[in-house]
Amino acid sequence: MSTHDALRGLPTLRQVAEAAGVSIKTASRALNDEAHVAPITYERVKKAAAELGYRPNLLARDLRSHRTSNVVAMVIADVSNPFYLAIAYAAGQVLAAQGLLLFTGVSDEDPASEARVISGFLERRVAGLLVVSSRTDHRHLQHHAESRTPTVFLDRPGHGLEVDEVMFDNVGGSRAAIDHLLAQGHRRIGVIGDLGSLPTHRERIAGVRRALAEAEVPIDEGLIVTDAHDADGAKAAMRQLLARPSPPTAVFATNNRMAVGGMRAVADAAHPPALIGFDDVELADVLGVSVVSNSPADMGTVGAEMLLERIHGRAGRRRRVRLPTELVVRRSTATPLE
Amino acid sequence: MARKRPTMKDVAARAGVGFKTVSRVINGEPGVTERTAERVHLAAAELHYRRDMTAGNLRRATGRTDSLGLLVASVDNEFDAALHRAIEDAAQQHRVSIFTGSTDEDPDRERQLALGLLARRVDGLVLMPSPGDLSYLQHEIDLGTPIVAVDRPPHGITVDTVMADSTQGARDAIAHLIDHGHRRVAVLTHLGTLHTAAQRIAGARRRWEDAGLPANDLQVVDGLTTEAETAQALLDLLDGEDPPTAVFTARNQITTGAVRALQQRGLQREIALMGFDDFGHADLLDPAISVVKQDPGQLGHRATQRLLARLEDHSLPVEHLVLGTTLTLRQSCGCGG
Repeated sequence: MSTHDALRGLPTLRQVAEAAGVSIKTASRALNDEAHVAPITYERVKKAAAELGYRPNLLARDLRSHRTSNVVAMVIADVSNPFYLAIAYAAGQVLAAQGLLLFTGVSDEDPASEARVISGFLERRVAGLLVVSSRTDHRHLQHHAESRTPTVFLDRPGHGLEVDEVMFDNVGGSRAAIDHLLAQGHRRIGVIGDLGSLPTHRERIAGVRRALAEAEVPIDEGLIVTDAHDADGAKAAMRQLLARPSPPTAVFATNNRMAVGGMRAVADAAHPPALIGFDDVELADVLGVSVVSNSPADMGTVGAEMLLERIHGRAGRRRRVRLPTELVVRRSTATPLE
Repeated sequence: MARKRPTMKDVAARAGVGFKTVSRVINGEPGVTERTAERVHLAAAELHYRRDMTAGNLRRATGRTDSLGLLVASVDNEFDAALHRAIEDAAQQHRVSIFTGSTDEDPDRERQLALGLLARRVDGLVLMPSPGDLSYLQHEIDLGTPIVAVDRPPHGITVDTVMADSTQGARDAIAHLIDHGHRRVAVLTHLGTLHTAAQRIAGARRRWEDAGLPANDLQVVDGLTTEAETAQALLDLLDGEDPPTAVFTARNQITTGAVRALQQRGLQREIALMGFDDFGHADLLDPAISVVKQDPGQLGHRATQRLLARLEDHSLPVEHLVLGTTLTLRQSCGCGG
C-alpha cells in the first residue's frame, strides 16, 4: 500500500487515545517516544495503536528523503486569545504523532498581515496550512490552496476557495443562549460583540436576531454593542448598556473575552444583569458564569486530521464540518427574572 | 567574526562529486548510487551543511529574511502566550515576521523545531530552552546567528539570556505569608528539575530558613503537571495531619488547580493562597488571587531588542539580563485587597 493510500479513512490518533483511556497529548507523546510517559501508559497506547492499526510516522520515508516538508504552518488570528492557542496546541499534538512539526504565525486580525504570514510560509515550503482567517476574500490563495499546498480553514470560512473547513455551530449556539434567557423571562437582552467584520461574530449576531424574531420580541438596536474586541472594550460596553434609561436585564457576550470584560464591569454590582457568554472561560465553573461551551481542542484535532488526509492525497470535494456547542447553565443566569 | 554558511557547492567539493549529484542526494531524487550518497551525506555532516528549505532566494539586499524563530514551551500557556505577544509586538515595529513552535519541554521536539526554523532561514532565534542539551546549535552561533534564551538558561551553549528573578519572587511571596502569621505552608510546583521550579523552591526554602522556622513546616510537593493533579495534591494535604494554613503555587496552571481545590471544600477564605505569575481573571475570583508576578511583556520586549542588537553587531559580549518581580496583593493572601 503506498503512503498516499495509507491514511485515507484509517484510524486516527483520537481513536487510539480513547481506546487507551488517555489524552491525545499523552498518546502523541507515547507514540513519539517522548519523555514524561509512564511505562504502563506507553504500553497501553502502543497496544491500542496496534489493535486499531494506527501507524504513526507514515510520512517517515518521505520525510527522510525530503520529498515532503516536515512542517505544517498555522495562521493564528490573535495570540492574546487562549481560544486560538488551544486550537494550535491540539493540532500540534495530532501532527506530531505523524512526525510533522507545527509552526504558527500571527495575523492580529489584519488581512494584510495574514497575506504576508501565509506568503512567508509558502515561500518556506510547508506540507500543509491551517488558517484562522481575518479576510473575507481568499481568491489570491486559489492556486496554492487548491492544488499545491493542502489547506484547511478553521473557525472562519475560506471565501471563494474549495477547501475543507471546520467551524462551530455559531448560529445554533447563540440561539440556544438567547432561548435560555427568554425562558428565564428576560425581554430586554443586551449583546456585547467582537469585531463586526468577523464571520463568527456575524453568525452569532444572526443567531441572536433569529431567536428574538421567533419569540416575537422586538429588537432594540441600542442594546446591541459591537466592535468591543478586547476585555477593556467589553467592560466599557457593559457600562454603556447599564447606563441606559432602560438597561438590559440580561447580557449575551459573543465570546470569552467579551464575557470577562462584561464580568469585570459588574464585579461590584449589587444586582448585576444575567450574563451568558459564547466560548468557555477559564474557571467558568468557579466564577459561576453560564456559557455556550465549545471545544477549540476538537477544532484543532479535527482540522489537523482532515489536513493529514489531504496531505496523503485524499481527493474529492471539500468538506465543511460544523462542531456542536453545548449550553452550560450556571449561577449567572440560573435565577429567572422576577 | 562570523564564518560563511556552507553551500551545496562546498559539499560537492568536499565529497569529490559534481554539484548535480549533491543536489540529487539532498533532494531525495533517484540516480545516485548508495556509496556516492553516503559520501555526500558524510561531507554534508562534516561541514554542518543545512539544507535550505526555501523556494528561491528569500534574502533581501541586506542579506536578511526579516524573520525570526520563536520557541515557547507550551503555546497555550498564558505566560508563554504573553511572551509571544510581546515578541510579536516588538518584531512588528521592525517589520519582522515571527514563526513560532512549541517544544512541550521535549528536547527532541525542540531540536527538530530549532533546526527546522534555521533551515527556513530565520535571521535569529528566541527560545525558552527545554532541559535538553543545545550544543547542536553551537555551529549556528559560530556562524553569527543570534540566539537569545528567555525565562530559563540554556544547557550546552552560552548565549544572551533574559529572565526574571524567580528566587527573589518566591522569597517575597513566602515573606508575605510569614508576615500574615502563617507557620505551616505548602509549596506546590511543577517538575522540580526544571529551572524555574528549582529557583522558586530554593527561594521559598531560603526565606523560610532565614525566618528561623522548622524546615518540615514548609511542605514542598513538586512534579504537578495538570490542574487535576494539583487539586488532588492540595486536597490530600488538607486532609492530612497538621494541614497547611497557606499555599504558595509556583506557576499559573498550578494556581488554578489550587483555586479549584479550595473552592471545592469551601476553604477559599480559610486557607491563604499566593501564586507565582498572574493569570487571566485572578482579579474576578472571590477572594481575588494575590500573586508575585514577572513581566512577560518586558521579558519579550528585551529579548527581541537584544536579538536585533546582536544582528547588527555580532561582536557584542554575551549579556545576562535579570528582571525583577512584583507583588500584586489582592485578597487571597489575607490582605484587605
